[in-house]
Amino acid sequence: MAQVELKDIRASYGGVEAVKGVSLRLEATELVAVLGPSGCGKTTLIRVVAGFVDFQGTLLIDGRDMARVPPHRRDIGIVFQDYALFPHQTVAENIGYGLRMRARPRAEIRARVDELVELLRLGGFAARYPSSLSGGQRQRVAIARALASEPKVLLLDEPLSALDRKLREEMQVELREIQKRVGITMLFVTHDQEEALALADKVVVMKDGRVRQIGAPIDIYLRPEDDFVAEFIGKSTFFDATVVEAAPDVAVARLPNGSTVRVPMRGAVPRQRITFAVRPERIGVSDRRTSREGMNAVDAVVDHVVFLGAHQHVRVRTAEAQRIEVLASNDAKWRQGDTVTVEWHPNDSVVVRSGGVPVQTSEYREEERT
Amino acid sequence: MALVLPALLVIATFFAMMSTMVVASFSPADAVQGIRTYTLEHYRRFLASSFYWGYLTGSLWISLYCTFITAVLGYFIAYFMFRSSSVVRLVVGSVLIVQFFTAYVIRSYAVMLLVGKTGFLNQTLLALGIIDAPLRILFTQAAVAIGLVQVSLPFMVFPILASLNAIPTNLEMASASLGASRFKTFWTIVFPLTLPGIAAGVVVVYLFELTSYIVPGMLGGGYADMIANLIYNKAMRSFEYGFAAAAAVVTLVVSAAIVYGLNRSFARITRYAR
Repeated sequence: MAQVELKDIRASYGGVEAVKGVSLRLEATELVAVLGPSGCGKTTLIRVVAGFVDFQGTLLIDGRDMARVPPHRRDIGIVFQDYALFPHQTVAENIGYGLRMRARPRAEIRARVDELVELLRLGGFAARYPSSLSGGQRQRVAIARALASEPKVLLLDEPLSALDRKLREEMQVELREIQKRVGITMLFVTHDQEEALALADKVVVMKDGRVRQIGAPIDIYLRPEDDFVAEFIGKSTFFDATVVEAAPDVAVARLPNGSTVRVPMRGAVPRQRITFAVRPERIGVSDRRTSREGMNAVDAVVDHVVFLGAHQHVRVRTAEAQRIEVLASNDAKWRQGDTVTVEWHPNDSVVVRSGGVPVQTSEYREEERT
Repeated sequence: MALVLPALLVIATFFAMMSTMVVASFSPADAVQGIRTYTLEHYRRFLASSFYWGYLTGSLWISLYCTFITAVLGYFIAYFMFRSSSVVRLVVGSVLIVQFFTAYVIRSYAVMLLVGKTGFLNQTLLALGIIDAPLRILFTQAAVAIGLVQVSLPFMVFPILASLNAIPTNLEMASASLGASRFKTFWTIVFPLTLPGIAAGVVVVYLFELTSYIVPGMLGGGYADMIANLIYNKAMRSFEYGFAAAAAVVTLVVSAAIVYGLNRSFARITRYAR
């Protein structure tokens, strides 16, 4: 249960500057996900916090400067992607390792190991060696081992990526529950956006060693601050447009095909070029213009339809070859070649790029839509 | 079938060699050509005389402590290579490999030059005033021990290095994050995981040293002969083939027992892998 604060952290790994000035704050008992593609510096960031990589900048844990504190005195638990269990020790020995290193009394170690075996549902496996466990069991041993000596912070490096999909979803729930029950500050890195959105209180999106956006999962998803975040988190269709009319909170912009759309945007300037993104699940398809008041609409032709069970993925194309991704309900009856109109509410579009100057999107207001 | 034939031929040859030796060890010294009789006289002679089996126990003993020294030194070298940059690792590895491919006679000669009466070691010690008269190292068991260790080091270094390299770096980080100092991490994680490498090195080096011939021959100068020197002398100098064969069979049986014992105990240390 500790606060972690990173101020302008820079670090190199393997001769390359992997982290280029990251500032970040973890409140006590907060679960923060660092999300980014491979090579974005997220693993290096974990290693900085753990003490395995030299860095410039300031790293504070509970207000204490960690610059000169060696890894084994930082009181940090780590769960590695490959679990890094000690192969020559049994499950119980692995879990008790941290306590043995701290020279705790045997009875206390045994009690704590039993407690964690219970917490992580490892009963019956305590005397086994890691080589005889399944991936999910190893994962749980790794978490138990990291938690055993009650560290201030738990770091997880791609904790679930080695598990198959079903197990991964189970472990997500389990991890969240453990975190709630133990009340520990957790920082985990992942390249899996679903994992980040499902688990984290706060998501940090990184690219090329820099933070692109920090926010709650819903903000990251619904209000990406730039095109990388919009692209990386979920799917988006990007529209290039030119502002023709600017109001305080909204801009009217012209698409390449001449039709105009309304986009929530502050401080827009006429003739400014912008790019905005719309999520596939926020776009509707109909066979003629319903011309509902206030909706943006574009004419298009159905390109292909993929049935996905719970819903259908429909890709349509405008006359200008702009592709638009739509997530339609599974009873939609579109066929390739159908002429359709796609529609979305202005508040479902987010400006992700605008003539080089940073923009502020106006407040997303749910009540406006009803 | 055609593909297993070469192996069968080789194995058959080995078997023929072994059985010839075993047959010879049971053949009387005064055997008449064409008449097969069997005797235990060679075994009796070998085992009854402490002078003879002393060669075997002496060899077992010097090989034992030399294997220990080789293991310790080999571990240091392997660990140094493991922690070094790839350039240093390459240089040290090359030195080991080059000396590995140099004939034992030449390497033993080099040790002679080093520890001889006017050798580098004595001259240095004399020049530093640590000793007044040259130490007698050459033609003693100490010289043989130095030679054995020097010659067998590569057999120890490479298996240990391989087992060090096989340890995921994450394990050391995990250990540190759990509160273990560098030394504790080494002692509780790294060292136990290199035991298979040490085991492989120990078995090879022990047998290699036990059956050494050139090193004790040159560096012992007849004052520190080992079992192979006895067998050679009996077979090639005094033509007591039967006795030489009996000594060889006893050595073989003892070696096989040792390898079996070592493998059994090493299998117990690495039971976690199953």
